[in-house]
Amino acid sequence: MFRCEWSDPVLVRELIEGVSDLVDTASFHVDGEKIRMEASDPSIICKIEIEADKRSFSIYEIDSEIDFYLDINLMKKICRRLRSGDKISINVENNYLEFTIHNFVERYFRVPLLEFGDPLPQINMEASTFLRIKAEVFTDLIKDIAVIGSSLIIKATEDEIIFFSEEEGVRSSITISKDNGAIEEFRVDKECISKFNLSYILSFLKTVSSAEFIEIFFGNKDTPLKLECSNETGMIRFYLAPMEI
Amino acid sequence: MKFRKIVNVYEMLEKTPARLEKTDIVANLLKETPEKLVSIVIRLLLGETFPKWMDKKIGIGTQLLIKSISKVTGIKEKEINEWVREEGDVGKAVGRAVRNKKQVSFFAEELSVEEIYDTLNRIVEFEGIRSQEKKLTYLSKLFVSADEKEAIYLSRIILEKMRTGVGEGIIRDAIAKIYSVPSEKIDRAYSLVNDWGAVAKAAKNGTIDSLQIEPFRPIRVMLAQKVRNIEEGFSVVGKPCAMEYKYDGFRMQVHKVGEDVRIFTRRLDNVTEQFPFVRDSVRRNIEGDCIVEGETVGIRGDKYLPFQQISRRIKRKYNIEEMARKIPVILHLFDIVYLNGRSLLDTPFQKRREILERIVKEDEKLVLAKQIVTDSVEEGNIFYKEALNRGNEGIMMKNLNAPYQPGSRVGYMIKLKPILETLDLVIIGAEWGEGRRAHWLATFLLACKDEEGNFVPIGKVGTGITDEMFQELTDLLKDNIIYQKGKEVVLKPELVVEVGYEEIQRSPKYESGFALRFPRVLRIREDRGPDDIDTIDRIYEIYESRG
Repeated sequence: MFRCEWSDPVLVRELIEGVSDLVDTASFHVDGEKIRMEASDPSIICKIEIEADKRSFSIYEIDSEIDFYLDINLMKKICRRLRSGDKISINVENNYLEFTIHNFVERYFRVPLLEFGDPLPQINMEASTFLRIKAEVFTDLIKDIAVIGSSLIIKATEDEIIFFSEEEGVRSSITISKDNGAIEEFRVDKECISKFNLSYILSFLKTVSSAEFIEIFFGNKDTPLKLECSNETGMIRFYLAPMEI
Repeated sequence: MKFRKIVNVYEMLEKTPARLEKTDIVANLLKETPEKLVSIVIRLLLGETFPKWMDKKIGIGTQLLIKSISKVTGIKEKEINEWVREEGDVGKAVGRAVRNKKQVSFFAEELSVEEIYDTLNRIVEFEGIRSQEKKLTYLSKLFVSADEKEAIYLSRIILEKMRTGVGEGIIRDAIAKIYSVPSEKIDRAYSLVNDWGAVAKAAKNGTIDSLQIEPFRPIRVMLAQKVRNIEEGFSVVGKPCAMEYKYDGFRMQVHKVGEDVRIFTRRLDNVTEQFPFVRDSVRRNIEGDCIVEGETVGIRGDKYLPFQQISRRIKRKYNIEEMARKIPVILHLFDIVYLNGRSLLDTPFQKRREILERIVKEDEKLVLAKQIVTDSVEEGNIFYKEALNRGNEGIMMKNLNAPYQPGSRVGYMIKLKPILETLDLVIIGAEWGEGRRAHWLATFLLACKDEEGNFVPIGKVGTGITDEMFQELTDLLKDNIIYQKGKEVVLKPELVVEVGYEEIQRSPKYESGFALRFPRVLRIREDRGPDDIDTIDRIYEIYESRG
C-alpha cells in the first residue's frame, strides 16, 4: 500500500500533460524516500525521468517498496480536471491507482495498473558542454528556432553557444555568449556540434514551464542531449537521441 | 522467429517469376516454421495479416505510414513522398528512408515475427479520436528496429500489398507439398474457414478433414455459371430443377447463434451494423442456430430500388438507423448451410430448401426467394419473364440434388440474365481531369486478372460517368493512391466496377492482349473485391463467342 497527498495541483497537471505528449505509459518506483518515474516514447528516441522527494508531499505513507506501470494518457484526462486550490491524494493498492481530488467535493477516480513493458535502457553520457540557463530564456529561444525549423543544431565554442536551424535555405540563429545575464553556469570542455529533433524538445519544455533554471548537457554528434530541472524536493530529466548532421 | 528469415523469403519470391520455384520457396519456409507461427507466417506471406471476416483492419494508409517513418528516421515527409514517386513503390521509399536515416534511437532490437504480429494486433484495436496517433506510435516502435530490407516488407505488410507474386494458389500448392495433403482437400478446407493460416495449421497437424463450417466464420459462397437460355440451363442442372428469381441486390450470409446475429457480404465483410432491421428480423423469425444465405434488395412499397442505393447502405458508418429507414431492404433467403451444430453442405438442395421453409417465419424484412420446381421449358420461360417484369436481374436454376460447394462454380446452379455480358474489372490507375473535372479522377485504367492472379490492364474508361459518380469514384479511390506523377496516379487495386462495352478487341496496347471498345462504367461493385473480377480466360471466351 502506498498513499500520498499533494497540494500543488497545477504543477501535477502541467507535468502530466507535458509528459503525455511524449509517452503513452510510464513506470513508477516508490520507496520510503521518493517517487521515481521513468518513461520513453515508443521509438525510444527520448526518455524522461522524474523524481519527487517525500518532502514534496503533505502525506507520504508506504508499507514497502512498490513498482507500478500507468497509462499516462488516462492520467492526463483526469489531471485536466485539476484546478488551483485542489488537493490530490493517491493510493496504490491491489492493482489499482486511486486518485482523489479534494476541494468542496471529493472527486474519486480509479485506474487499473498496467502490466510492465520492457525495461528502458539506462543512458550514460559524457557531455563536453554544460549550461545552466534561465528556463524562460531557453524556452523562448527554442520556440523562436521552431518558428521556421524542425531540427535544432547546437554549436558550442569556448565563449558562446549558437542555437540554430538551417533547412532548405531558411536559417534562424540565436547566439548566447558565456557572460549573458541569463546564464548561471557555462562550461565548454571542447568545441562541439550536434543536432536534435525540435518537436521532442518543445514537448518536454511544457513539463517544466514553472522551472526557474534549466541545465543543458550535450556533446559532439553522437552524444544525446540532456535537459534537467531540479529543486530541493524534485527533479525532471530528459534525454534526446541525436540526429545525424 | 526472426522477421529477417521471412524477409529473405520475400526477396527470393520477388526475384523469381516461376510459380513452381515460388511454391518451393514458400514450402521450405513452412518446413522451418514452428507450429505456433504457421498461420501467422502464411498470413504475412499473403500480405493479409487478418482474414477479412475477422473484422480487423490495420487501417493505415500511405500518408500515415510516411508520417511514422519520418518520425523514426528524421527525414521529412515531403522527401519520402518524393522517393515514393521516384521508386514507384512505398516499400522501397521507406527502405530508402531507413537506409538514410538521420535520427538515432537509444534502443533497437532485432524484429521478430511475434512482435510484428502482436503490434499489428494492438493497432487494429485502436478506434476513435486519437486512434491514428496511437497507430503512429506503435508503427514507430516497429520501424525503429527495422533495417532497410525489413522496412520495405514491413511497409508492404502494413499496406497489405506484398508485390511478391504470392497468391492463394501458391500458398495452397506449398501447403499441399509440404504436408502431403491433396489440393482438393485444401481447397475444401479453405472454402469452409476462409483463413489460409488455419488451413496450414490443420494440414500440419493432420486435422484438415475435421475442419468444419462454424457460425461467425463466413464461408465462401457457391458461385453460379452463366447460360444463355432455359434449355441450356436444364442441360447443366438437370430436370426437374428449382428456379428462383435472381434479385438485383447484395448477396448475404447470415449467421445466428441464439440472439447473436452477424451478417456478412460475399466478400466476407461484416455488415451487421449497417442492417439493424434485418438483424432484428432474423433474431425474431428464424428458429435455431444457423447459417442462411440470401439476397438483400432495397425496396420502397412494392418496387425494388436500384442496386446503387443499397450500395450506399453498405458503405454507411454513421446515422445507420436513419439510412435504414430511408432505404429499407428486404432479405430474400434461398439457402441454408448449417443448422443447430450440423453442417448441411452435403444435404441435397431440395432438402435444404425444405429446412429453410420450416425454420423461417416470413415478415416484411425477411422472405424466402420466390421459387418454382419444374422440368418445363415453357414454364421456365414464363417464370423468367415474370422475374424480369418484376424488376429482377433474371433467374437462377438449381440442381435439386446438389450439395453446397463453397467457393466453387461447379454447375450446381446457373444464372440466366438477358443483358449483354458486362465485365467486373478493378481500377488500378487513374488520371486527374481538366477544366470542370479538375477536382475529380476522370480517366480510369481497368484491369482483369491473369492465370497467376495478377492484375493486367485491359483499357481506360472515362465516359458514361455522371458527375455524381465521378465524385463518388474520386472519394473512394483517393485513399487507394499509391503514388502520383503529374496527373497520373497509381492505385491499390481494390475498387471493382461493372463495365459495359460494344466489343472486345485484340490489342497489343494493353498487357492483357485485349481492349474494350466504347467502355462505360455501369456501376461500382461494392459487393465485389479484386478477387472476384473477371479473368482473361472469361474475356477470351466472350471474345471467341462473339466471333
